[in-house]
Amino acid sequence: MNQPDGIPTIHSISASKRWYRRVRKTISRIYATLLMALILYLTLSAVWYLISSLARSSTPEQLTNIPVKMDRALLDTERAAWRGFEVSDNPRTPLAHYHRVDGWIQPDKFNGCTQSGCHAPLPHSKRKEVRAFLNMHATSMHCGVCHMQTEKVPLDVLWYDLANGQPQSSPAILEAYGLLLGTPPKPDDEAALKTLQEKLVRLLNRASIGAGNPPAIQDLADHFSAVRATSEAFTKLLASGREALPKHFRGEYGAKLALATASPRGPMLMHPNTEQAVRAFLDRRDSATGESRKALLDAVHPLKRPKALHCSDCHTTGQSLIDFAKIGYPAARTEALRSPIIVRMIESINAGHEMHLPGFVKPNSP
Amino acid sequence: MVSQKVRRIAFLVAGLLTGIFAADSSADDPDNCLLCHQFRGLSRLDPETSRLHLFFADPDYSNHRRGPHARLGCTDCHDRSEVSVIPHKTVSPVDCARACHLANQSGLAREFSHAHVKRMLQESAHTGDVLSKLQFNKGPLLSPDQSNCLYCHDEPIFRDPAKAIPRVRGMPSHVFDRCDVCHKEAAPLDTEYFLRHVASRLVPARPPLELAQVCAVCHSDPLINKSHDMPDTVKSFVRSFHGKAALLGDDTAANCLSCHVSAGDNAHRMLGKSNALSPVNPVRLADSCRSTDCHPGADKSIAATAVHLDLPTAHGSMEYLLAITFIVLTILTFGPSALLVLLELVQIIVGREQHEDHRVRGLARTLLADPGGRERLKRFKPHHRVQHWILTVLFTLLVMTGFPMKFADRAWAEAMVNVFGGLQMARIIHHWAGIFLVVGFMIHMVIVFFVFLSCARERMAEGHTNAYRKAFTSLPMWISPVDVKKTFQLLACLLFLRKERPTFGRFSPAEKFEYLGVFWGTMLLGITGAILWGEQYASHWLGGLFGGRVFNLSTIAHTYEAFLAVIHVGILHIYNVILAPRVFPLSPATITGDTPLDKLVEEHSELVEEVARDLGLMPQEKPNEPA
Repeated sequence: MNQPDGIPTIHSISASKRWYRRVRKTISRIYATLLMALILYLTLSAVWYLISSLARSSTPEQLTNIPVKMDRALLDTERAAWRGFEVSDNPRTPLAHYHRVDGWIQPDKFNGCTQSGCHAPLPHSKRKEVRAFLNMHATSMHCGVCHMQTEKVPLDVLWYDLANGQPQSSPAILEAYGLLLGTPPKPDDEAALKTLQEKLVRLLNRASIGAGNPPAIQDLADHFSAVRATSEAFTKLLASGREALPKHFRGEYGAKLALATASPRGPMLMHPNTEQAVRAFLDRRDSATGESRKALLDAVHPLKRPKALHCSDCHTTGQSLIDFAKIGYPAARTEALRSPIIVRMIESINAGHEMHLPGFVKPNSP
Repeated sequence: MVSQKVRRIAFLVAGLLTGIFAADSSADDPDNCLLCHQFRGLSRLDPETSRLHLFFADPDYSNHRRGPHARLGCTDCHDRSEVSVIPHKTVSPVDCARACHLANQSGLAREFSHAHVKRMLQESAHTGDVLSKLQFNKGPLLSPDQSNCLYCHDEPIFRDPAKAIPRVRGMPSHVFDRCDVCHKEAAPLDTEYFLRHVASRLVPARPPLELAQVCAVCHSDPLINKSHDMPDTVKSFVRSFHGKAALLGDDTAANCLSCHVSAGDNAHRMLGKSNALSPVNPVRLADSCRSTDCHPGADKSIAATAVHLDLPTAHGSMEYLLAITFIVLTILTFGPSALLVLLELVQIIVGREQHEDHRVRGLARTLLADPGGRERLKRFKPHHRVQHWILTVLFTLLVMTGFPMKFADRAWAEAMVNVFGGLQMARIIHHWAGIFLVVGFMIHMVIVFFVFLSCARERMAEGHTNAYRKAFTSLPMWISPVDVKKTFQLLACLLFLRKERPTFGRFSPAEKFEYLGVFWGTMLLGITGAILWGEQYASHWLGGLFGGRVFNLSTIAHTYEAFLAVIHVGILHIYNVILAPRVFPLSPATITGDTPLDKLVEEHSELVEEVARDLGLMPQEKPNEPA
């Protein structure tokens, strides 16, 4: 039934059309509500900005959010947390440190010993002779390698990725060095040479990221990718790479060594099943003394070695507790780590004997 | 970041011939310190003081000659007798004024010392006495045995040579072809070192932002400012044009040293403002601003520009009052418009049905079906639409290139500036877009003037007295008392105080108000923009009137008016032409000039009736009122 001017009346509208109209109206209402919320939000934000532009005065983070103190708190923050660092080409180092660091030792997000709040990321502080050297190993090894009891000899260790705490193969820089030390394909084997080139470039790029993007490793990757795999330049690069790469074995691999758990096989990043004991200890850390404190600590450290491993347990010409070859160290690097000169130096330092560095031992010479 | 290109050139040319890494880096490390100190983790935390001791020295610094100290050995600064023995003895603080010996390429050593810097500091505002007594809000930043030099300095680093010599980026590799004849294996490092060392001297040692970071360590510290009775000058600096440019990565912006160190003088001899020799002393300030590097040719009044103006703390100043005026005006103009839009949405949400005049709808349908009627119902002629789109493009460009300056400290600002290739290019685009906008505005005014003349002639032909006044008030965008009355009627209707919704002619009062905003805004932004752009000329013309503060006032007017324009367009205009349910997803008026039927019936029924009368679809009941 229509009105005289052709407009349908409500009675002529079928049920489906009424339903359609109702849905449409509901959608319109939701849309209008959302729109209103958006406009209100934007309007209030604009007014708030206007008022605060005259009422509040602050210095932008780009200027002030830089670390000025070298203290414990710095160890708990990553470089990226500092806005002032991020906006600078060459950000200045934290104030009390003169030398360029471009970052400091980063917190290991998966190390249960430090993340629990019990131990500092640089935990060794007692013996002056070795404390910095021991802390140095914290960038490439989990505490458990030296401090957790295991019967296995050599130690069953694996690498874990610092980005996700998951097991990973050996660090890219070690793999790349292994490739460089291997016998290169014959000059006329273009396919093999190209494969080697691609592998090296990929590994060096990964190694650069793992080491915090030092320009030298990236340069090396760039050079390997810039030359033809069959050229003489590539052969020369292989030779110079063999000398260059060991200079960057500085424990910054984007991965760390940890004892392996049996099943499922993975990194043992804290003493097993101790979460509750850790909480109990933290609750009573300040109040517990004597035997009760010892009991709490024993519960936290069920696998603690009575005596931590000694440097020369691994850095030795004899039977090392770490099977370096098994975890991806090329032979030349393994030899360097177990060289008699290094071992004697370590023993001398550990014994607290005064010594002068021999000039012929070059940094990271293979 | 040091140009990879430069490194690559050096490496590729000489490196491949001589063996990239054959150069013996240990030459700069005769004591073999890096054997241990190359490890970042070589460090310890003092459990008693919580102080972190990093013993790391980046070997890449010397291996890649990253700075002028790269050729120094550790024992050039640290006492050999203390550090060559392991474990190290208690290490004495480094005395930056001690002499060292640098060997040149031919092996001849030359004594070098910073002792004279110490003497300079004693003549400056930053004497050893002043620096040693600094009390920081966060407690001591240096340990007692550390050099005060560390407040400002860390290991010096060369800047990217391409910053000073852009051609370095495209430099062909054969430039270095013969370097290895003399430099032999050291060619890659020497060429790189030479380039960086020389080129880095051609630009400031630090970009303005990093320099401000250095100054902020003390000059943004509340305790230091309080004890020395100083304002936070770094905070106010970054609110200035110079500071904002620095935040946006412009290396050419004036930095702290540009003003506070006399031309040709040394930063270590920086003097306090009250010292007659200081470039910022009131007597010398004008000449400092007008130096050939900065604002040559400007009137001396430019010195009165408050570079360190911090509005929130400048209570009672002319600038503060102007800012308050703009804020109030913004709220008073934007607020009611926003209220109308929000109330419109409330009508939809509560499901309020408007009484619809079916007669008008029928008329509109009939007219739209007729080509002549449809043409008459087009509210925007082709030249209006072209003007609108030109305005849209220019407005967008102006906002994208101008707002990063307003919000320079936000993360998105630098990203947006970089879209245009950096601040310099963004600034050029902003200026040219502004010129086109002003030119477009003038062309529009000429068109309006001819429309006005035509109206005036018609009125005269009709025998009206005051034909020009009547012609003016009959211009399409003239806001008449009737518009004001209808706006209140609309408000009453939207507030449920009135049943009938008022209807309008060709343009609604809201549209007329928006037009007025564009009219006023373009003039204000154009004038203040021209003052800021041509500051050297403006200082002569306007300096006598307001002094250098004309630039502060212009900045405030420009920035707050631009903000008003952006929120009006960005929130309300976008709603009206895109998001409003009746026009979503885009009003065809901006493309074809057509107005959607619903909007025509609800808001522009007077236009429909007027066209219907003209085409004889309705009797001529009464004379048209001016639309």
